[in-house]
Amino acid sequence: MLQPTLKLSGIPTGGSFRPRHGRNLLSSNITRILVNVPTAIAKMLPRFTAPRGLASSIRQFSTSASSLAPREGPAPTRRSTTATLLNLNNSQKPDTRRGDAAQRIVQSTRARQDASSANIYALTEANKQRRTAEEYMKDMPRHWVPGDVYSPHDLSGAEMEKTRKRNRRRGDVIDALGIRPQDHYKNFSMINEFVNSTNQIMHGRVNGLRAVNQRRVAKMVRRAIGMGLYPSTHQHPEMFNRKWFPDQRQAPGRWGN
Amino acid sequence: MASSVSPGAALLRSSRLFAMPKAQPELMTNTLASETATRNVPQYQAITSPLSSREKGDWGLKRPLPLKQTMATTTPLVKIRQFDSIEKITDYGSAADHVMSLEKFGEMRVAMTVPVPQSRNIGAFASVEHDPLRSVFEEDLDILTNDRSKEAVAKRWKFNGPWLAMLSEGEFKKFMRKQVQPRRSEFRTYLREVLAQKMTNEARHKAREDGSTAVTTTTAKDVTDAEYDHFVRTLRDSRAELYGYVSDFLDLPPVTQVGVADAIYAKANSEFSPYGMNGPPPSHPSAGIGYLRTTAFMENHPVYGPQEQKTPTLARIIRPRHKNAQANIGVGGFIAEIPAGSNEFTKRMLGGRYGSAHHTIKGVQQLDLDTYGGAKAYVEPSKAVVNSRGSVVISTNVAKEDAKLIADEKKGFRSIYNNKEIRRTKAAAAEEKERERAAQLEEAKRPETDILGSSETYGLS
Repeated sequence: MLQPTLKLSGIPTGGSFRPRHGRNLLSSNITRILVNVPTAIAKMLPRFTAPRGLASSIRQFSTSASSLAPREGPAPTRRSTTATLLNLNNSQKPDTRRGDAAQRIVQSTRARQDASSANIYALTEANKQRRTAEEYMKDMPRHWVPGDVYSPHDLSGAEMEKTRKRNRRRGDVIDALGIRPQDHYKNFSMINEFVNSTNQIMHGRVNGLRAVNQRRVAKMVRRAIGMGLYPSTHQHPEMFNRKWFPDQRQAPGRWGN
Repeated sequence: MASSVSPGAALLRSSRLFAMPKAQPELMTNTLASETATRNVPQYQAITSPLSSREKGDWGLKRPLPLKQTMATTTPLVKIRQFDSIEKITDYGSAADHVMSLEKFGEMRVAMTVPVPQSRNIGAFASVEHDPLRSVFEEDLDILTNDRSKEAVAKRWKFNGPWLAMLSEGEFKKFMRKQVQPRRSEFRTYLREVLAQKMTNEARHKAREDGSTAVTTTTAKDVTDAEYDHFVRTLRDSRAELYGYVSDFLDLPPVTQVGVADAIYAKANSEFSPYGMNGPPPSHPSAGIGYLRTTAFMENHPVYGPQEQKTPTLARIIRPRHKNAQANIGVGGFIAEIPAGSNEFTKRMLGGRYGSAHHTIKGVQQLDLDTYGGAKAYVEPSKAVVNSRGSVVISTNVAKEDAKLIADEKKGFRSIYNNKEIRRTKAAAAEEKERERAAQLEEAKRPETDILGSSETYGLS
């Protein structure tokens, strides 16, 4: 048998296997370490001697024993059977000449650079597209629920713009919650919902409250201001904080939540 | 009857205009959408008019509708919000949204089914009765009477009382104030009757145990105040039993589970209701949108024969997935549920032991900016359910590849049908013959093997 076979789990062995850098599996120290072949086994296996005609093809920059590995020379005068068989594996390799190693290093580095720059380009493009898609998504604020019915009009920009705008309150909030507003005169977040930025009580039409509840809410606001619990010309300072430092809303306990 | 009114009134009464149904009240389904957004449920009757009349603006209304709008559309359908407003105009709008959705829904051919909550769909609870594909038109499910028997309540969809879980705090208080409080004394009488019945049953049971035939029947009048008070106190400890009496008295929809202990009681004492988990629908569970009873039919292709799957529908990917929310797909104008499980509409899992590296459709992960008209994908609509808010929720399955191919071919996008005669060259025929001969030789050469087992076949030597 000319070609030694080595059984390694998960790695094709025998004549068909060649490590990536063109080195012979058995004679390359690096490969041996990489594939974790015990040195003892490797020593037991037969080694090749380089055919005489290939002496000229020994690579200049290589110090490892792999330089002795047979490879197709420029013009071998005579070929041994072994070499011919081994060369079957190297048949796709271009002719190597003196100084090729340096050239190959340059080439592989360049290829690697090209690949990585192509990769970076693809990533940048994907990121750009994702960002554009996210920008478009900002113009589609509608939250859909299974069971919703839509027509082409509902997907239009005009309709989406309407969805984005805060809807006018429909129905009476006080009735829906079933509360007595007078009981909540100390609840400044609730008062804030019924007054504008300069602390004027909102109109019932804006609030969407029925007349009775509007009177109750107005009484609640006036009571809070009269007792000095709520400012009369600006929003409550806690509301400022909520507006200008929204991150603090996350702080537990700060707003009573 | 017609003789009792004036001829003009009789004419009006028999006219089609007066046959127009009143607008349905708006359901609180679309609180986030705008005023002009398409509602989940139509509110107005859609009307149309023949071309010859439409050309004159004649829609059978008090005044003609503007030709500029009504003639410049491919869908001449309008809804009338007000026949005659205070500004002396007819307030109308296009009804194409709901009419076209209805038409598309019909084309999809999905059957209306009763809802089946997920938790009931597994393990011991799963049974034929809870088949997720049961039609709402099944004889035993489509109960229209006010029957309070246990079996009927479990299947009824219409109740006099509200679905309490859906009421807001204010609505609940109003319900208590207006409908429950005035009936307190009536409920006490009802409880006395219940107790009397209970005592009679106990006496009958005891008599049977003792072997005697004399049974004392208790009536509501015989129940003493002390007995009644004791009964009410015991009821306070048993919420499920009390809810049973309250819901029977107020005709409330059944609740599937109240608590862990109550669930055991409820399991033993009440039937499973398809609407117990999420509430009964506000309309008939078919919503009148489809009358198909089953999806258990096969489609037949004129050339390829009976098909395993129905013709898939092209779904629009309305919104890509966002954070934890799944992508939304639109099927025939309805936002539908994406196919269950890990599939091309869900987030792609990167290999791994538990994830499947399925292919994700463009437009699911992020908005598809390349495809003209937006990303679309085939799905197979499987069933439709009317939820407690009155919306029609369509469930979908993943469409199979061959179904997609045939659907594409029907539309003329692809060509897969090939009826050309199979021609063989002389060389190919000879080669085949040669191959056959080689196979025969190979067969002849093969040594006959012992079919009995040996140590070798067990891998011992």
